[in-house]
Order: sequence, then C-alpha cells, then structure tokens
Amino acid sequence: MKEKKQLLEPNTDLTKKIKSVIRKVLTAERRKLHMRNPRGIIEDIQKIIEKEVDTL
Amino acid sequence: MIFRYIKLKNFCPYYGQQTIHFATDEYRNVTVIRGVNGTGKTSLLTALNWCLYGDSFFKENTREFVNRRVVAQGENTDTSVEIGFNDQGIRYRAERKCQWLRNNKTTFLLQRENEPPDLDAAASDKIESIIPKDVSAHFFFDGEKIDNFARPGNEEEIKNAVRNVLRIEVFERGIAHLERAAQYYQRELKKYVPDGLKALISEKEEKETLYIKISEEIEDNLKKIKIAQRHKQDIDNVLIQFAEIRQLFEEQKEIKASLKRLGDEKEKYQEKILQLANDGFIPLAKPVIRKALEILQSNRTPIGIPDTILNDLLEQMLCLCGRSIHRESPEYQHIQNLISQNVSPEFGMAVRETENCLKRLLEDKVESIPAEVKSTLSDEQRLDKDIEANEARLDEIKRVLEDFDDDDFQKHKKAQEEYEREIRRLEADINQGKGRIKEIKTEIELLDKKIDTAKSLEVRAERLQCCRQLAMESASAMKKLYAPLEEDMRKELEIEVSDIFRKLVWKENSFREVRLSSNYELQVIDRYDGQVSPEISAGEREVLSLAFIAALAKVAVKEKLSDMQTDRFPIVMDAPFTKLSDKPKENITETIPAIANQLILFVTDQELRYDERAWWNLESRVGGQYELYFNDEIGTTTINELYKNGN
Repeated sequence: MKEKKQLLEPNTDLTKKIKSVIRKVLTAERRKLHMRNPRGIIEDIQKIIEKEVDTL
Repeated sequence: MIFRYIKLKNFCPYYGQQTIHFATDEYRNVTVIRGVNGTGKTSLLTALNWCLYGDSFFKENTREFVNRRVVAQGENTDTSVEIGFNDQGIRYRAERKCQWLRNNKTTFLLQRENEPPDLDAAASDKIESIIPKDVSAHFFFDGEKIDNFARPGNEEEIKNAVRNVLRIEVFERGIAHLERAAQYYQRELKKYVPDGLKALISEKEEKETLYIKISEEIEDNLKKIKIAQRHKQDIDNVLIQFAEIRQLFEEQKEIKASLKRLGDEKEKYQEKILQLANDGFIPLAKPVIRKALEILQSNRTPIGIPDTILNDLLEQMLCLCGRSIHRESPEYQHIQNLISQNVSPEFGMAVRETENCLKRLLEDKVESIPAEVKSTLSDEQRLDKDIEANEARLDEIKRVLEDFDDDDFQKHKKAQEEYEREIRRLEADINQGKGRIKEIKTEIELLDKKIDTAKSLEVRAERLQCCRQLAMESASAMKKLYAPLEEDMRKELEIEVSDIFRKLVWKENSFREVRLSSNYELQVIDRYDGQVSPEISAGEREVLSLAFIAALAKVAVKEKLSDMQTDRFPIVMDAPFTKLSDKPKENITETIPAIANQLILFVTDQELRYDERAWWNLESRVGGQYELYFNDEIGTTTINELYKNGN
C-alpha cells in the first residue's frame, strides 16, 4: 500500500485531502461491506468529504 | 479472532449441554476433534456457522437441529449454541438460541465482556464487522469444499475469495459511492444561480450611483435655490422702493381726484354764495314784509266756500253743519254775509299765495340767511385750504416722480417672477429627488438583503463545488489505485500460494510455482514451465486449495486489510485429509499450524492416526483434543476430552 500512495504524489493539500478521504471511505465501506445495500453509506461519505472540505 | 470454546445445548446429536475448549496458545494452537463417521463432526461446523451467522443446512426447519431425543421426549427446553472468542484482546460471548417448542423463535446475542449484550440485528452487524460471513466461509470449511476450491472452472469462487478476504470490493464500492456523492453535489449545485450575486452587486452599484447622482442634484438645486432666493431678495428690495414710487403714483391719482372733487364743491359753494347774495335784500325788507302781512291778514276774505254751495244752503234752509235754519236765524244771516263778502276765487288764491310767500320769507330767509352766509364762507375757506394742501402735495409728488422709470420696474417685476418660478421649480425637483432617493434607499436595502442571501448561497455553492471536486478527485485517485492494488494483491497472493504449496506438496521439485492468473485461475506450473493444473491429482488439488486458503489468511494479516478488525484467523477444517496420502498429510500438519493463528480439525481416526508421522508432526502443537462418542442406544453424542494444553 505504501507504494500505492506514491501515485498520489506530490503531497499537496489536495492530495493530502484525497488520501484522507480514501482512507476514511475505505474504512466506512469495510464496516458496511457485509451489507448488500449499505444504508446511509452515501451520507457517511458526504460527511467525510464535507469534513475534509471544511478543514481545507 | 480466536475461538475459546463452543457450548452446545441439545444441538443435533449433542444432548444436554456439552462444551469444547479450543486451544488458544500461540504455539499449541491446534485443537483436534476426533470422531468416526456420523458422530457429529460436521454438526460442530454447522453449530459454529449457525451460532455466528444463523446459517445452517436446516435453515428452513429449525427443528432439524434440535436434538432428536429432546424432540421425542417433548422436553420443554431450548436449543442453543454459545461460542466464546477473543478478538483484538477483547473477550466476547456469542449465543444463538431457539425456543423451538414454544414459538420456534431464534434469538442472537453478542456480549462484550463487562458490557451489556447487543441483540439480534445489532449483534449480527458486530459479528460481521469482526469476521464477515463471506470471509468466514473461506476459513471454516469442510473437506468437500477444499476439494472443489482448486477445481478448474472455479475461478469465480477464487476471485470472490480474494475480493472478500483482501477486501478489494471496498475499493469498487468506495469508487461507486464517491461518484454518487459527486453526482449529489452536482445536483445540489444546479440549485444555485452562479451569476446571481454578481448581477445583484452590479444592480446595487447602479442604484448607489443613481443615489449619489440624485443627492448631488438635490445639493445643486439647493444651492441654486439659495442663489435664486438671494437674487429674488435683491429684486424684492428694489421692488420695495418701486412700491413706494407706485404708492406715490396712486397718491398722485387720488390727490388729483380729490382736487377735482374739491373744485366741484367750490363751484357749488360759489353758486350758493351767489344765491345768498341775491337773497341778501330780504333781511333788509323785513319791516316791509311784516307790514304787508298785517295788511293782507286784516283784509283777508273768507275763502274756500264757493257761492253756489252757500246759495244752495240758503235755498234748502240748512246750516253749514246740516241743521235746519230759518230766515231770521243768525246762521241764515251769516251765510248771506258770506255770499256778500265773497270775492272771485282767483283773487282769493292770489292773496293767500302772497300771504304764504311773505310768511316764508319772514320765517325762513330773514332769520337764516346771515348764518348761512357765514357758514358757507367758512366752508369755502376750509375748502380753499384743502385744495391748497393737495396742490402742494401734488407738486411734491410730481417732483419725486420726475426721476421714476416704469420700464425698469416692470423689468424687475418680471425678473422677480422668473426667480419665483425658478425657486418653485427647483423646490419641486428637490422634492421629487428626495422621493426618488427614498425609493432608491429602500431598493438598496432590499438588494442588500438579497446580496446577503446570495452570498450565503454562494458560500454554500462554493463549498458544494469543493465537495464535488474532492469526491471526483478521490474517486479518480481510487480508480488509479484500484488496478495496481488488485494486481499487487494477486501477485502477493501468488507468491504466498506458491511458497505454501511447495511446502505442502510432496513432489516439490516437480512443481516450480503456482500462478494466480489475471482472471483468478490457479495454475500449477511444472519444472518445464508448463501448466499442469488440469492433470494434478485430487490430493494435489486439495493441497493447492489449502495452500490458497493459508496464503489468503497470511496476506490478509500481513496487509492488515481486514477491517473485519481482526488480525488473526482461525482455520476450521472438517475432514481435510480424506483424500490425502501420508506425505502431503505430513507436510500439511507440519506447515498449516505455523501459518494459521488457530487450527481446529475435525477428523476421523483414519484421517489422522496416532501412529503416523502426520500426527507426530502435529502433536507438539495440539493444545486440545476431543473425542466424539456416539451412544447408539440413546442416539446421542457425548464429547470427551482427550487432551488439553499438553497435559
């Protein structure tokens, strides 16, 4: 995975945010992976994105 | 996840409550459960899946897993399976219970040590987060599954196993959900008019400019009014002087009229004086008049009764008063005297007129003429004085008016009127301007409110735009990451499968490696670099499956990808060695305990005999051993502990 992160270089504010979003989205998705149609996942992702945007 | 125990109560062949404690030691991590065919080994695997996931082969009819003795005796008791396990240093207890006799209702709870339990759906969610069902399927399995796993044509199952265990699907879902989030932001963005604020600000600027312009116009007009008022004041001052002149004109006119009137009066006085002068002899003739009167009065004849009337009275012998008279009566004599004294009527009238005239002269004129003369002369003198005074004033006015220019007056008057009109016009303009300014001020206030709203909307739109961009960029980045990640996972898995397979298989020199193709086909490559997968034996295929499962567990732990939270995997195998000969069995018993964090084996005596190397390999790592004893008389199985923690 470490090598993969290099795909998001250079480490600008945006790429930092993208990395953070990806990490959090993956965590959220993993938590609900067992559900075929995870309820509220879009809202969860929106919250993740908006939180990142608000701290830009 | 590491299992601590399983407690079965009236489940399948297990009557009453029976418990198996699994080996949890890091080295002695193997639990062996021995039983001949039909004693209930597979039922244990079923119990494990039913407890954790509610899954069973008897899903349709829960009565099927209720112990038959209990059913036969109609015992009013529950059927349950309880599993104790550790995960990430936390102790859990999971229990699924079926009140089959009462309402056939199944309940499930998951209790974290020292905490209240989660029930049913919440408990299931938690189990899923620890070790999902689709993942568990690759670690809790029976021999048949092992056999099928590496069969050609099962690429989809292998692919699913990789995707499930290594959680590759989260990437796909993450990408899809991020794209949906970006679409949501795009839809939200459409609700905002991008140029709305700019247009409002421009409109406000225009209004403000107009406001300033009108304010300046009002100021200019006020200045103009002041100037006009100053000019008008000057003209007013001039016109005041002109007014005085005009007054003199009026006075001159009045005096002229007055003089004319006085002149007329004087003429009348003069006529009167002339008349008085004519009558002036009358006072001097006073004694003569008086004497004449006396004469007339003394010789005056009765007058008034005509002779005809008197003669008629005498003929009728009537008095003047109507009484009867006779010839000797005084009245008769009197009437006769009257007839004798009577003169002609014309003469009588003339005498009477003369008498009256003399009387009037005597009474009216003789006494009044002197006073009247005096009074009239006095009045004439006064009139003369008035005329003289008026004439003097007239001369004075004439002298003043000699310098007056009426055209100049008219010019000033006209200018004054013009200034007055100008001031009225300017005042009207100012009032109009003030009204307009008031309107503009209201409009600006309204625009301010709209701008505030638009600004907040723009901030929201900007934020939505940022969110959309971040969602899209993140999805794009994930797409970029996805392919290399999947490829890396596949490669990493390939290396591990090769390594483990070579350790497990007995012809290690015959097989160079195992490849996991891009379409997830497990390919065994021989020493000549040829693919030999279709030709490998059933035992070799089972070894290949085991190698793959072990590799999956190893990679998952290594990558810490399992947001199943757990970083330890138990491997539960039911009848794994049925198709294996001694050599691969030996290799498996030597290798798998070192790879799995916990190994639970359900075996027959024939699968793992005490007198073979496979057992010897395993013995040192066995932390628990049980035997399933089936009592044919009562039809139930009893679990007997044979070996525990090496004692």
